[in-house]
Amino acid sequence: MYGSTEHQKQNRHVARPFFIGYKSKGAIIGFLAFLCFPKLQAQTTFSYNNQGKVTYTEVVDLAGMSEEVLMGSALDFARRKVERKKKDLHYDEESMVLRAKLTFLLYKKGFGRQPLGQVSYVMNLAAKPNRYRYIFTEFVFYPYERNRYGKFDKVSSRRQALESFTALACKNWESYCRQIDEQVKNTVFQLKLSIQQQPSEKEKNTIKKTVDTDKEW
Amino acid sequence: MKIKSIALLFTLWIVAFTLQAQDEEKEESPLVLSGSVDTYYKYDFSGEPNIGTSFGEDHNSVSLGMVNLIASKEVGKVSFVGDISFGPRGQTNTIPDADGTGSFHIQNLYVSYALSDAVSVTAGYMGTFVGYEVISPTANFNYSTSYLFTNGPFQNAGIKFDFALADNLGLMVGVFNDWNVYTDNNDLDDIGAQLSYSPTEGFDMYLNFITSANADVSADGDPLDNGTEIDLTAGYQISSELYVGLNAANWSREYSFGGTEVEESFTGVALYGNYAFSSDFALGARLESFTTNNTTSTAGVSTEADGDVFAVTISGNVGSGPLKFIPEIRFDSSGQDIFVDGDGNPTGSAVQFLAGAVFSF
Repeated sequence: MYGSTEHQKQNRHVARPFFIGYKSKGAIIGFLAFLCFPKLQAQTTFSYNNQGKVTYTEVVDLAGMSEEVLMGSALDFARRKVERKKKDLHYDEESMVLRAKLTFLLYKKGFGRQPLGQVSYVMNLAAKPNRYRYIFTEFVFYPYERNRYGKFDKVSSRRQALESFTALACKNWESYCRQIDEQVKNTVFQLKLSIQQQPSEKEKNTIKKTVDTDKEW
Repeated sequence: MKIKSIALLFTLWIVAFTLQAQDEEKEESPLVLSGSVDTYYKYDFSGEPNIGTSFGEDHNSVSLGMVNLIASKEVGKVSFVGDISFGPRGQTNTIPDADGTGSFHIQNLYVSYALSDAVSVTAGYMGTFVGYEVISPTANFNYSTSYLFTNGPFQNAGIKFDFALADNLGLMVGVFNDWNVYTDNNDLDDIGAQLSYSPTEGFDMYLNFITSANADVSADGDPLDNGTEIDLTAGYQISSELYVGLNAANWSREYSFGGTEVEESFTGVALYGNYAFSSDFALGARLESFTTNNTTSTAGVSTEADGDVFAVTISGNVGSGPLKFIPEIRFDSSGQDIFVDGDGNPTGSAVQFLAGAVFSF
């Protein structure tokens, strides 16, 4: 009785390993695609400016905002981000151009999270009524080495422009490219968020609790 | 007076710390774990250990260096480093037996606080700021060490302030324990300073100074004063392949015992050069001249009051990954018969071959 009906035949068929039978091609292709997906995703492509330097740039429209308000918010953001406020942040009031040197760390793959080096870059930001433009460029890689005090510290003499810090120099190049891309995009996100929530907006969102002291009691 | 000054210094530090404590938040970095493991084989052509500098002293033996484990973390303006080692290189070969058991040794243990962009304060036990070479084999090109390294301080416990005077100019000043001790039993009386200058990219110079103000002598006649050392250290990355370095130092000490005034000193100069033929292979040399005057306490030079030695060390660095292999040949010669030959007779020169393997992680 068992195994004699069409229903049971179908059940037997379903119970067979997934890679056997007419669905196997699709399954195999799907499985290979799954394996390949992380590798395809890992390909990070940088954009380059006319001088051949890695560059992230965008014009961001923000209707109803004056250039002063935009620049004020950008300055607040830059002040929070730079390591040394006096040396790494320059603002030209006349041309309303902001230039800030920002940094982040790259970490090695493998045991724990050890810094591989520091990446520094320059953020240029200019504002006009209702829009601003950022340009992130001049990326430089400073390798880290452990110093006599047990701390990882940058070796300035061995710095390299990011354009020359290539796969040839580093077997984990793709991983580092991905880190760089993620770090920069995260900074862009924070910048946009910071400028969108400029002071007047923040004030609007703040609930002010007032008390009437003139009221008779 | 001295205690008052230190108390004032400490109070200022605490006040500054409190005032700055509510400063803006900075991104927290992860806990960083790192370290190294090293081992070596040495063969002295006299048939017994001859050259008295630090590390790699065992003859015709595959011997241990040390296991070095380091943890560090930065949280905003605050950071710490805990750096501990197990094994002869980090313990009995370098300093007096710190804990009396010879089991381990702390290389660095300190906390640091950035008072501003330009000023930081650090307190604890730190690798010395004096000299070119260090205890960790990962940071030295040669596996064996110089006489200047062996006879200088290894670590200094204390409190120091670092000032970034300009982008290429820095100053450190601090008060320290005696050399290489966790606890100073005869007052915190060493003063140290370092002036650092980078005239151009890749060229770093350090002028170091450390002196002790303790003029006391133990009942056995041993001075408690560590003496005064003035040290110049410089390194220049001339090209991506070629690096040159210099270490020059003078140490002196004066004390009186039993009505006799004693003056002793050493002076040394070491030149370093290494060339990277590829990312996997570099070859380097160290030339060192070292002289002592009226001292028998200087390691590895002479049992007589005065001594001199000239040492040539040629080392390779093979490997670009975590494992570095260091084959090395070293020739030392002296005006005194401070070495022994193959028959055990005193002689003025010694030759050794050493192969070190250093894994860093």
